[in-house]
Amino acid sequence: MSMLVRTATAIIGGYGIAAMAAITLSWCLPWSRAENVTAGLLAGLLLWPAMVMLGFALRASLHVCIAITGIAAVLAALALLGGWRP
Amino acid sequence: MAAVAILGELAGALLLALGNARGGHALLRRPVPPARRRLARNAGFCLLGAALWGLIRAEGDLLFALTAWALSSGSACILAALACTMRDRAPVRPTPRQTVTGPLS
Amino acid sequence: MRPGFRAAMTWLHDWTGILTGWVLLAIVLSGTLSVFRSEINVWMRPELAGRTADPVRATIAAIDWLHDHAPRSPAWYLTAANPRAPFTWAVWQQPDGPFVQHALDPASGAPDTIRDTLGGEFFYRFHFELQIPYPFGRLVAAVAAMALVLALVTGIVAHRRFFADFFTFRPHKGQRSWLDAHNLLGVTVLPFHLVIAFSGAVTLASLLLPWGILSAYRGAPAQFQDALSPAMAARPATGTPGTLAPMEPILHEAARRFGPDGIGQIYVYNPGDAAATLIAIGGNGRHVGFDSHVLRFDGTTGRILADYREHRPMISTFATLYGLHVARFAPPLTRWLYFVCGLLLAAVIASGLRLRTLRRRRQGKSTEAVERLNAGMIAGIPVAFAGYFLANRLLPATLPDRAGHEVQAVFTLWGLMLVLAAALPSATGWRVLSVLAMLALGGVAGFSAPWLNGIDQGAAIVAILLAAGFGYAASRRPAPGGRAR
Repeated sequence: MSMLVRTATAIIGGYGIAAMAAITLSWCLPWSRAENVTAGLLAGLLLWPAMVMLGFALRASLHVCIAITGIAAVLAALALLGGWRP
Repeated sequence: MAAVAILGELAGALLLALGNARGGHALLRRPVPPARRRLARNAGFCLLGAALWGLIRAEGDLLFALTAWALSSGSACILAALACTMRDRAPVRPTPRQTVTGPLS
Repeated sequence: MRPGFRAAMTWLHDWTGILTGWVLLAIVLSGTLSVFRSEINVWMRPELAGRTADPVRATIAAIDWLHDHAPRSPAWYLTAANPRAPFTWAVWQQPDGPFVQHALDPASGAPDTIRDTLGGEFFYRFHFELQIPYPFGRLVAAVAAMALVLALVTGIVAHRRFFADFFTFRPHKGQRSWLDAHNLLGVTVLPFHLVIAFSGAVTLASLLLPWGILSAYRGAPAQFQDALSPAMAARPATGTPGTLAPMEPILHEAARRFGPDGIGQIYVYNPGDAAATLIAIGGNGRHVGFDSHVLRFDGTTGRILADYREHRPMISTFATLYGLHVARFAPPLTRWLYFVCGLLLAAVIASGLRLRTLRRRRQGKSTEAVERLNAGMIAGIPVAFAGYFLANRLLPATLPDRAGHEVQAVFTLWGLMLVLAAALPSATGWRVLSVLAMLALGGVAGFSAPWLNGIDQGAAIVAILLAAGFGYAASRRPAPGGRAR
């Protein structure tokens, strides 16, 4: 059961972070819009598997939740600063 | 030029195999001292590096050369491993020194 | 590295492999064949054997034919003839929606002289669409690519002892041998595997992670495509009829500007309209990146509207990753290495699936059902794919919807193989399917006769080697702790 929760958190949370990173880079990088979006795509693709691994590397499920929410919040804050409005 | 580079990679991969405890044992049919193994390993890496340099010279494009090198050196390592396997399985002529015939496991 | 970390990564490696192994195997095998897409295209059209084509002349013939037979189509997409493929590959949209695709004769521009087949395009499409409707097939392929990246990275941790055992493969030792094979093949070609898996996800990135595009372009994602390749943007149709300008000067101008790259593709938008647009895309055989030199012409006057080369570093990085995956640049040696390494990746996946069942059996769990499905996939996919080549030669040339029947043959055979594998005990199933794969591949080698050109010889050699592999698998005595029960 705990493995199921952890898997779901890692995969869905990881995807959330990847999507958030794509949005954040699209708004915060200094280049043209198309380049920023492309950089966001590549970063998102790198982050998703990394986040899934993080989800399984941490010892407690609670830590995983905290880590993923924390990273997503930081990214969202940066995106908001960059001009993103959801 | 490309063919020479790939031959160099094959030789390099064989040297890397010699530099590995199990691989060297299989190829030479006796344990190889660590100092020799280190020497073989370093020579192997040097040859692989030289092959990359040769491919860059031959292809004229860094990315072309890097892809060709990564693909061919990987395949060369597999061939080296197959060579070790063949050598390991081949019947061994009985000599007084030869007591261990199989792999270490 | 603490033990908990390694255990977690091993668990992740195992489950990613089990859940996506079969899909990945199909994707990897069809992708490996796509490396030789052009060559398969020619193999499947023996009518074209020995012919050569001038790209400009063949394109003019094709456009003339389309002008007479599909004047009301909203778009014609032509892939120009080149030294690897002496015909024009044309895809066009019918006015009521569906797409038609045909190979067009380089001299007459008509499809009639060439048998109706998808050729290598089938494997190419199946590789990322899996014959599932858009966008779901592509999403499955994208997620599978990400899973492969994950499985490879966690695999490095899970099998971290591989360097000690690096250069030895110990055959006839059951699980030990499978582990050796899995590690050896996985590690030596790891850089290729990682790059191909990640760049595979890159090719489908905008579908997998559309959020950046949607937010930055405020729900008009088409603008992103236009920004990626500014010269490719088409003009909307005006509704007033127009006539196409003479093609010869346009194509000669394009060929002159592309120089040694040659003409890659020609797209004609709204060919019967006053706002007809012709896009000429340069060949990208001479650099790794997928970003080509693009020209846009006014279709009715023949005037050049745009001449674009990519210089933005981030877009070039993206295009380079994309180009590494599709390998249009690859010279023959690199192309063969892509092919071999693709087969090795398939072998890594297959040996991983095999290892899993062996380990579970050792733990005293029943694995019979999974073993049977493994046989249906690992030996069944090669049978089905070889069946595609056989159907190409066996179906009558005048059969209506011939190309569709060829594709049906693949899935019928695959289904039959799965049913057969499910019905037989796994050890027998492996043997029967291996023999069938050997026969089918032998048939492909036979139909490559008279082995006069490089393509036929290459196809025959590959088919015979693979057939020998399956023959060996069928003849093998069960290894201790291996297949015997």
